[in-house]
Amino acid sequence: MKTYVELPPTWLVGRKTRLRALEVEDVPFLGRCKIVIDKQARGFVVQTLDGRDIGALGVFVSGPHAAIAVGFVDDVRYVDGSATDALKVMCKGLPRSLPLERIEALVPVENHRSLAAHERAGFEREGVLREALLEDGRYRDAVVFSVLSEGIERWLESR
Amino acid sequence: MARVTLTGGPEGTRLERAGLQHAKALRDGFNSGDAAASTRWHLPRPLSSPNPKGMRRYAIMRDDRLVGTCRLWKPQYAGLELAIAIFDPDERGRGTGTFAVKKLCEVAFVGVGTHRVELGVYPDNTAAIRVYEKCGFQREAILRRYVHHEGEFRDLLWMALLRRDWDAANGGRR
Repeated sequence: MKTYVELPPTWLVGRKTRLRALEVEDVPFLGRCKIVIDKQARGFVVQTLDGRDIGALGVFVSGPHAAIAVGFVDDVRYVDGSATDALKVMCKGLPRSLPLERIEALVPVENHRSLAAHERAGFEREGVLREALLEDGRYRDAVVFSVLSEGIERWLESR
Repeated sequence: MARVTLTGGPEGTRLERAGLQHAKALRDGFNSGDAAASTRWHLPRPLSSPNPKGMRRYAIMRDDRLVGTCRLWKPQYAGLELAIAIFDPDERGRGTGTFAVKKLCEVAFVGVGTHRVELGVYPDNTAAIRVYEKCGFQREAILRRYVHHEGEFRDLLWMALLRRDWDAANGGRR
């Protein structure tokens, strides 16, 4: 785990977490975050406000749509509000520069804490995609969540 | 790779790998009928993977006439995505679509060996949904504002057929 004396600069700062750019030396850390970040996606490292790395976040943007995924080293982060906060920070940050219509997230159905974190962040459940997520060599069912542009605007106004 | 026969549809319908020889008929088909109204071209690309194996386009032929087209393509989520269009409204309701969808599933599961075939359909396209359900597809989700079509974002009903369901319905792996 990398600890910064000086916090790396970012404008993606929330109430509990901040997101910093992913660097080459973070690759081993990513392996512990239970998340796969595609080559085409942008990766971020989720930090606590005092600069400890706790997880990773990936964003993929394609035209008016974006997909988002988070993973943490410690599952406690889904419960203590860090996951919700990281999702909100990213979902508020993205549409500041991009005209997005929809942001979606796939979450494995067994991961109840992550499901709850997405719901608290304002995502709406759209259905279950069977055998859609490849994880540890086998396909798992995934809940598909999304938040639409009105939902994003409501967040932007709320704070 | 197991060989799948592509003939034997109603009234002698058959599938043919689409090539340059079909290009003109395909263009005319999409420009003339009402297929374009229920057929979407653009979707966001998936988070997953580079091109999967097994992507292919087919022309749906009767005698020497092209009545529609269908394809197995890069999925939005996993497996392969299926898409089909039948151009002439007179050709609907004659089993052509059911035949093509069933054949494509056979190609995907037996020929290619994928684990999942998925597709998106507009929720108001009841005729198409009936065909997909007859072929074993199950409704999975309503993806809100998923496609941009004729000036507005529209919802999409997402359906999928899993290999185990297909195997059960077709008497095990052949």
